[in-house]
Amino acid sequence: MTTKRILIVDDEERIREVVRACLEDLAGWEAIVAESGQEGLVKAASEQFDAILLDVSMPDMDGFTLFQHLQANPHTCLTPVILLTAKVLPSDRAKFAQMGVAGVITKPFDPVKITLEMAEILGWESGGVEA
Amino acid sequence: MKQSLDTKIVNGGFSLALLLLCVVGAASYLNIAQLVANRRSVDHTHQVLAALDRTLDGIRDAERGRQGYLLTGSRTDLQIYHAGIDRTEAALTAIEELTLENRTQQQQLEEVNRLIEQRFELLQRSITLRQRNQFDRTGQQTLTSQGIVMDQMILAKLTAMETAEQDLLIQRTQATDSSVQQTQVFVGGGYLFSFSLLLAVYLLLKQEIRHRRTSENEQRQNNQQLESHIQERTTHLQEANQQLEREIAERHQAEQKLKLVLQAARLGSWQLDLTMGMLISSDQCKANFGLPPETELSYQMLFELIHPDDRLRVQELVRQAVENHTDYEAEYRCIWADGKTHWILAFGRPTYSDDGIPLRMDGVTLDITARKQVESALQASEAQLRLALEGAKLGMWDHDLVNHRMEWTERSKAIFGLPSDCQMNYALFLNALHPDDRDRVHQIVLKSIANQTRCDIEYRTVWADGTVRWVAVMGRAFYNEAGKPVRMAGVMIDISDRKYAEALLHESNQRITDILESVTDAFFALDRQWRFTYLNPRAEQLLLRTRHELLGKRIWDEFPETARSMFYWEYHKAVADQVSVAFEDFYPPLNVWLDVRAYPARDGLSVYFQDVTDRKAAEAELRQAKADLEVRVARRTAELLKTVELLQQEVHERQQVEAANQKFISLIESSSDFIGIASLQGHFIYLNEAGQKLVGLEEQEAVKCTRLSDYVMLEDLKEFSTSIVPAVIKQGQWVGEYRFRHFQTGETIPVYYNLFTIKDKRTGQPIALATVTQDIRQRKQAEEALRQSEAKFRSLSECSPVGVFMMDTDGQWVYVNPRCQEICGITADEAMGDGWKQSLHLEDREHGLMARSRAVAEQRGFIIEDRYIHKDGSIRYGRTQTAPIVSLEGDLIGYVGTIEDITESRAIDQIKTEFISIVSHELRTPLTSIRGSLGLLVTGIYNNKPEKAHRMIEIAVADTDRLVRLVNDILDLERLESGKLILTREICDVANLLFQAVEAMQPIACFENITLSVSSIDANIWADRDAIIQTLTNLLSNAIKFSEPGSTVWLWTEYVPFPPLPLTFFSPSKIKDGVSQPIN
Repeated sequence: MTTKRILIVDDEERIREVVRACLEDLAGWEAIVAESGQEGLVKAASEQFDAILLDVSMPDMDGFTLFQHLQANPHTCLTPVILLTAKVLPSDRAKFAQMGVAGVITKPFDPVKITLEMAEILGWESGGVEA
Repeated sequence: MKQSLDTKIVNGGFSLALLLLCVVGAASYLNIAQLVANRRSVDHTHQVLAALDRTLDGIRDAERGRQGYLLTGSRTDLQIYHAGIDRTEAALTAIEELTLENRTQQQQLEEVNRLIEQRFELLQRSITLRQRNQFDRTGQQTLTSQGIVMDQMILAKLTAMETAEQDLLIQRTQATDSSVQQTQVFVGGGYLFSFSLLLAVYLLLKQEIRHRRTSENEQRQNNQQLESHIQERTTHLQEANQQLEREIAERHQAEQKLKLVLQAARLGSWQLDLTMGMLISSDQCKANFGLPPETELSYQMLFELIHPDDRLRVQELVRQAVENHTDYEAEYRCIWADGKTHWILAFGRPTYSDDGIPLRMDGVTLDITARKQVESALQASEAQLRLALEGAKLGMWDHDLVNHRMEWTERSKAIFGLPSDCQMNYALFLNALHPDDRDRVHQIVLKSIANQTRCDIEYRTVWADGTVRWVAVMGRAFYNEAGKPVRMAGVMIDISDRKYAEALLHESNQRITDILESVTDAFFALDRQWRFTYLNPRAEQLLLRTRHELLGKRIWDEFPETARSMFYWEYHKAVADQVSVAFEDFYPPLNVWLDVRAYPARDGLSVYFQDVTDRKAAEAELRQAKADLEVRVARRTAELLKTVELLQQEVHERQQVEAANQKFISLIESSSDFIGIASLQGHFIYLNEAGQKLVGLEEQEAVKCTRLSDYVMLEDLKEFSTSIVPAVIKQGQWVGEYRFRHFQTGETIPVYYNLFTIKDKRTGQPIALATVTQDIRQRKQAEEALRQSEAKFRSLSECSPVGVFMMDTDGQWVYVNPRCQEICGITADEAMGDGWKQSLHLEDREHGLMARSRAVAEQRGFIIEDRYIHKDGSIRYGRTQTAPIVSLEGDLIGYVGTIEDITESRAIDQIKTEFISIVSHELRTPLTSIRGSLGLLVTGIYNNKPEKAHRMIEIAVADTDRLVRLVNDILDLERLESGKLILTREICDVANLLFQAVEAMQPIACFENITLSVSSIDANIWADRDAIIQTLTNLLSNAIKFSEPGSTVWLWTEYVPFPPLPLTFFSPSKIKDGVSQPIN
């Protein structure tokens, strides 16, 4: 089975690093990071990813806007997007449900379980096995 | 109590959660610090191991250099040798430094040093030996063997040291692992518990908000209930007021009707003040005396109008009525101005004070001239009849068969020898009869009544002195419509004289019979052939024939007229039947009445007769009189019946009038209104009881000493005399609310004052002033209560923090309070009717109006939240709630509604939600890193990758610090909000503050390639130094964060003389492309 390529978009450096470590060291996937929404948009459009792990609150472009851009682009509209967010209020949940994202993972997360959760959302075989 | 408990729980929970987070953070920090220490120890062990390796390598290098030198004698090899020695020594020095704290290793090292020194001596000896004796193989072999032994010893020692270090390494690694696991468990558990607590607090807060909303709703409902109560009370009072007004109107109508009745009956009413002798009379009363309405009729004047013959009688009757407490009734004549005499019927009833003093007499007058004329004609006719009867010496009698009473004229009683004042009845009558006649008379009377025939009887009466008199009675019975006898009337005459005369005549006849010639009666005798055989002188006289002429002659030839008369038949009867006959008959040829008695004799017929012409004439006269009498009696009876009927009718009418009058009087007396009459000069003449009571006057007497102006308040006197009195005089009436004063207490009495003039019907001139005034204290009180209630409601509504409006049943606004206007952003005038709809936000208008019209159609209240757009474009959120207002009858009369401005609460809710969202997000972000890095470490994947593990720990440390800062910030915020943050204020130099803040932020700015510039003013401020510096550093931190590399962040201060206190503003801005941009 080929290695999965995941794009991580988050403005928090340390979170990017931890998530990347999880995906790479635990699941053995390939993780590409983007520090801002704008960068995420550019990378998503220019490269091919199996999934995008997207933070919602970012200073330059929030996750919703970025997701809309991704949806609008034929190149990226088919890439599944999983939101990785610290927003857990019911109102936020409702908003996410309307967006049409593949799934939502809340922060903080268990590093072991995040890969399993992602695999389940995306319908892949467990990433941990491949590691 | 509950609320304070909840607040304590919330505060406690929140504080506990934060405390836990602090503890967890601190614990994590300590653990990670331990980890770092362990890590350093591991590094240290690795360094020791490396140095040991280098020591061995150095020895080997030195040995290799020695061997090379031995073989080649080359300097290069000698250099290798020296380098090996140096390296070894350096390594040993490093080991010594690294193991300073390890006593065991130090001891071992000393051994190694000693062995290495020995080793190096061996090497040196070998080198020296080579240099002196180039190839002393044996010496060299010995040295080499010793060197090998030394090497093994050194190696053994170093190996021992290495083993010791390896053990140390294993121990430290294990310690690190266990520390990591502990930290993970501790942090994980701590955060889980903290979040549970925060969640619980959040739920509690939510519940609290829900409770508050419920209680707000309840309060709103209470408010509505209060308003609807006020509404109901208002409606009730209005209805009571209307009822009162209706009653007053009905009372006025009744009075008007009574007056009309009095007018229609032409009854004049009057009132005589018995104490003052003053008379008040109605227009009709004056009209009855032939006076115009404007005349002021005094009692004296009235008496002068009464016929002189009646005056004394009337005065006496009035006096008697007053003395005897009876009604006064009099018929008297009065003389009108045109000299005509009119009959007046007057009734009156005196009124007395409680102690029996006559106060006044109220009465009515009626002109009965017409009736009197009829009566007088009747009386004249009756007098004539009476005269006739008297002339004929006839007595009249009248027997009421129904009431068994008998009316006899004096003549009748005289005939029976009874006194004139004797009260007659049938028993007395029968008793007065001769005992032999009683039964017969009674039978005849009964028979006559039964057969409806005339009764014609002669009987005897026995006087008290024993005198027996003959009486002839004629009479007949009268029947009612049902055929029942009701009365019997007739005449009687004393016929004793006649009876005696008859008796005497009879005696005389007897004597004639016996003594023919001597008889005074005429006598003749006839033979069987009807021839005269004898005549006495009297007969000659009566028959105007001599004996010679008639003797031997047939009577029928000589007196042919008799042949067709009673004489013929009677004579024949006497002869034929041989009976004596007696009869009277008129003999026309002689124009005489003859009383004839014929006796049959053996030779013929003896006839006695006498001239009864005179008697007959009297009898005829009597008969004629009787017949006339009967006719007249019948006529009179009919007239009497008619009169009786009329009288009855009149009596009935009078009773009605009397009752009406009584009703009128009692109405006025029982009226609760102040009803009074005053002269045109304002002097009170009369005031009813209610009026007296109202103003505190105790008796009518006191009333009469008062004037109209005495009843008004002193301060109203001027208005009374300058506007009210002229208005009454000019327009005839003044009606309006006014004030009376209480005579005893001086209290103000609010009244509905109706002052009007009483005008003369004919001339239209005012003759008196009257007032019907209502006591409106209760109404005023009710009005005042209503006004207060209304004012209360209004002020409640005006001051209400909630907008209040009222709608009619069609949803049109009819009232709006200031708060409502404020919320909707419209004026009251604009809001009326449909106007308020313009203030609804366009987006909410369709839905809002539809919801409202649906509620109105279903006659129910509704609750809705919508937006109102103001003229300045600002938007307010309002929660509208309405409730239907229902009348007492259950009819919908409108709606009352409230609008609550929920803009602020919505904003606060929004802020609260955002705050929770932000805090949650901000807390979760560092936690994510901590949790992720520690989770990765726990998996053990970095056990063989210390750099990676180290990095993960660094991440955890950095975010732990961040978390601690966040928690501190929240704590500060909480303290600030609860007022627990203690500010230690002192005088601070502004420039110094700026310098300190900039100095703190300078490293970060340098790192981001951002220039910080300061512009300060020379001023001192009163502030908490640390807090201000913290604020400024936060501001700068944000400015740096949001500025691009290469830009400049400016921090400047400004002095603003802002009353009441001058303020200093700190303001950062960034410069981008040479333009200053403020940073929020």
